[in-house]
Amino acid sequence: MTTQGPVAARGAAVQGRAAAPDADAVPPEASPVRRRAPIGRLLRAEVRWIFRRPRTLAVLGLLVLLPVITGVAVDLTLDGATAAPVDAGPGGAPGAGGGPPIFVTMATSAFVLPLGSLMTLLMLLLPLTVAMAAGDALAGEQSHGALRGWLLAPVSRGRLLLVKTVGVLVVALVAAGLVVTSGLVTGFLLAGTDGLVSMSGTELSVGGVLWRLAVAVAWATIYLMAVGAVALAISASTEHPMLVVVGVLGGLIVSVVLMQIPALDWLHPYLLPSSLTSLVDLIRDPVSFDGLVEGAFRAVCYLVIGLSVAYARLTTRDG
Amino acid sequence: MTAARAGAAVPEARNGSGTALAARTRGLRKVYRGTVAVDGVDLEVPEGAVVGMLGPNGSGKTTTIRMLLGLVEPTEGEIELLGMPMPRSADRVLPHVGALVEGPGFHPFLSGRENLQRLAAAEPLLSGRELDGAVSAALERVGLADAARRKYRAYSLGMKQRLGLASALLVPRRLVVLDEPTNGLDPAGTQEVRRIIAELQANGVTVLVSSHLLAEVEATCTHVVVLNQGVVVAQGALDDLLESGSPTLFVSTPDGASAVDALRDHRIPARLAPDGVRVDITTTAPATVIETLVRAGARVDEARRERAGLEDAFARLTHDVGELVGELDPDEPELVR
Amino acid sequence: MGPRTKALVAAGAGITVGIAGLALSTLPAGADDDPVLPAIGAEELVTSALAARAPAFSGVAEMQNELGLPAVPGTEALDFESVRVFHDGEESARVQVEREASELTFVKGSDEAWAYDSREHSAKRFTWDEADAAAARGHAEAELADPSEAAAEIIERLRPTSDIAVDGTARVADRAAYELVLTPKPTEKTLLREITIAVDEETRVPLRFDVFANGRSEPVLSLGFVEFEVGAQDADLFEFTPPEGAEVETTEADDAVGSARDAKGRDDVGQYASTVGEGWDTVVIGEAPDDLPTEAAVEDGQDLGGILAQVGQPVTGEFGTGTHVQVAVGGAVVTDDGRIAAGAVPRQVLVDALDTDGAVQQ
Repeated sequence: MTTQGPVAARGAAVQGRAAAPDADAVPPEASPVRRRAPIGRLLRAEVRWIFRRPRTLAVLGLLVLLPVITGVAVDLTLDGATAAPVDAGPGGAPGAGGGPPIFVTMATSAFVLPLGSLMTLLMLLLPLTVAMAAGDALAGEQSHGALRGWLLAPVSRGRLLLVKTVGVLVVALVAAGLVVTSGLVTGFLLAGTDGLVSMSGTELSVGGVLWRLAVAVAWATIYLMAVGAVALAISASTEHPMLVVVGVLGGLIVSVVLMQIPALDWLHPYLLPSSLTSLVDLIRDPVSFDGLVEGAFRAVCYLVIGLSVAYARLTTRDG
Repeated sequence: MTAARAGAAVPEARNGSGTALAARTRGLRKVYRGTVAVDGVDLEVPEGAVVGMLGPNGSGKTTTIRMLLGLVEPTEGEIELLGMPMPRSADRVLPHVGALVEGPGFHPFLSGRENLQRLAAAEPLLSGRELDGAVSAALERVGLADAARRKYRAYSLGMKQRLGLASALLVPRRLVVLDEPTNGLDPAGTQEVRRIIAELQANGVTVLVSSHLLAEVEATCTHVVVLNQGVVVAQGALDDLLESGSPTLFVSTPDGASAVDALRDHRIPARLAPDGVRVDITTTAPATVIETLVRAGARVDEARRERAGLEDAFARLTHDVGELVGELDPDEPELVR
Repeated sequence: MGPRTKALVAAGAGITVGIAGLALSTLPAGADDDPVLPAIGAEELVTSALAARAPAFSGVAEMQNELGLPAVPGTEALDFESVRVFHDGEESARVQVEREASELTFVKGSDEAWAYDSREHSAKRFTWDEADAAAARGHAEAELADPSEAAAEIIERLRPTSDIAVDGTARVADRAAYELVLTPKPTEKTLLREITIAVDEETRVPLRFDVFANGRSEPVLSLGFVEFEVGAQDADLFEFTPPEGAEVETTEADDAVGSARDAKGRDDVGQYASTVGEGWDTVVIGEAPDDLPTEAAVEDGQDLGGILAQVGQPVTGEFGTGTHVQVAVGGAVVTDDGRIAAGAVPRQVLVDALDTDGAVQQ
């Protein structure tokens, strides 16, 4: 079949040269114990990479801007006609389809503006931000051929998924945190400490507002991580980051449509976006955590499913 | 030696003649959706050698390299890298292996230096304090120190290729695998790569370099593996491979035509060449050739043994199996034999 | 295990765990087997339930409504997702009706009560002087906030015309409870089959009411706790200070009861009502509330008569003419001269009641 036989047998001719190299120049001993790059270093590198990406920065900038824009817009409208109700403020009910605003007169307060902005943006823009990060994390890296660099270092695929998941988590946390912080600052500038009122009619202290907003950010991060895990699963299966964003967008739209069909109400508890309305409970006093806990649990279920599919795809995929 | 370094539990890999091997495969086979890309490859890369992996595009070079490095799971066969089984021992072996596979993969919005820092962070053999130094040294080594702060997107093709090379050299390695390292490089860059390979070899580093350019391999390698259509058609030391062609005697003579006639009369294969004749000495001793010529009255100015060019050998070897296949993708079904 | 097998196992296990988790969260609470409790006689259970006073507790109540009520404006307070209830075991209670993006909050202290609607950002304050307090309390305590009183009222009313039995046990809001069943005596002309009240074994507080109509296996109305925890409550819960900027209105005690009831979607018949018959086939007759048509006209551009014509059937009798609206548990007749007769009874009983009522008044 080949001419290999006689030729290969002569390989010994170079043995002398092969055995000769200067032993001191040979790299540090390969220790029989496994050595791995510290995970903290990988995470730092990943986070630095994420926040150097112009696209990430542009979207985060937009997320900071939106609460400011809505706050100012509502404020101007209210100044024009103080008593006139504002039908579509940022405090509008999520998914209520033109339902009554949470607070008519308080849309610019440092409590309602950040929470309302978060709820509105959680419906589409925040999930898409996370999907974009997840799409870049695996599919985008793969399309650049850059994933290979880490696989060859080597970074095991399990650790790679861990690093990528933490990267997406950081994006989710920062995005949700920026929306709320921007809303909070805008609210304080526009309305001071006026209107820090719960839906149950109690006035809240600044501390009471802050811990509620912190819970909102934490909860939103868990919710976004569920989206991110599903996005990572798609991301591990394709080389096109846009496909990840489109997939997540499609999934969200289908879920929301299914949620509008009463005949499918047995299915609704399985749909991720059905958790979103429970964020409203943070405006009640005392806060009713049942819905939030249920939503977080649902998100964790999605997280487990998404990450195990992503792991399976990543380990069987060619690098 | 290999085993002592890479882990005592692993039996030392040696070929039949007792040479320590930096890489070895047995019956390596890869099938992509019914298409055989690599079939029954028994590769042997001796320690300390510079092995050129030669073959036309689509001959299975890159697939073989990707399997060696654990990027692709083989359909069948065994792989040992630095004496340890792959991909099972990837986390112990790969830190000592530098690789540039399928062109450089970097992020356009980061500078060359930032790209390397990102890769260096994942190198298990680098401590946190060594990172910056290792990155600078690697950039220096490939001549990119001046362009380190420029965005990767603004790099020329040659600079991108150099940065890829730098990533393979971030850590002192025991094996460096370079897939088409001179792609896109100008002659000066090519020269630079040759210098780096020579340097690596001088430090006892084994180098596996793939190329479709014969001259490249002939100029830099001690060993050659020739792949065609997913099959190893030849491998061994470069010298042996060159000599495995028909030995030729070049006789410089002003009476070329009569010399050829005289030799053919004595059933010695010969053909006319500028300034002389080329004589096949597979079956005839050089002394007999000279004697025949002198008897025939041809003036012999000079006679010397000629080495066949690797190009001859390459063409000959690949023709043994079939027509040299040109620019074929490994996924093309035509490759199935 | 090869990497491929490992990956498949990981994916399979992860997906299974995730979907199992999702399925688990959809299971209704208290799907466990019925608890085993010491046997108790119906009389003893009724007596202890009547004697029980609500302890300090917090809970979440939900209502499932299969009444088949037409979508009449003014009843949207029924459209709540859940109600949170806090009770201090004495006189104070707090009820929060949670709607999708707003909330109705009632806070009742010992000498004043507040109702706050976040949709309007308005607060109503109800006060009463010492003299009225006792009388008002009788109504106010019929609120959901005090399920014991509400249950006592139902039991007292229906007792003479019902067969009462204990029908096993149930787990409600993760608490063991007896199922008390009230079945109308055969002479009662009602559309209802039975009412069951789940009485908490420990506190004898009713945890759930289920109303069953003839010919239906599922309850047409189910109102009960899905969470119920006995324990002292924070005193702050029972104090209310209207937030800055809220519209505040002070009302007298009598109106307060009416308003609170209206907001809770109860039949707003108040003191103007008279009743005909007793027990299960009681028919309540009253004046149609003035504000209902007005409100309807404003919100829907349609008057009450128009709505009634759509959902009801014309009916005539000695009393005159009117419109009969039938729902699962009963019906109502709205006469053209502005009276309403309603009860858990067939149409003819309503007509007879109107005739009787008319005769009495003349």
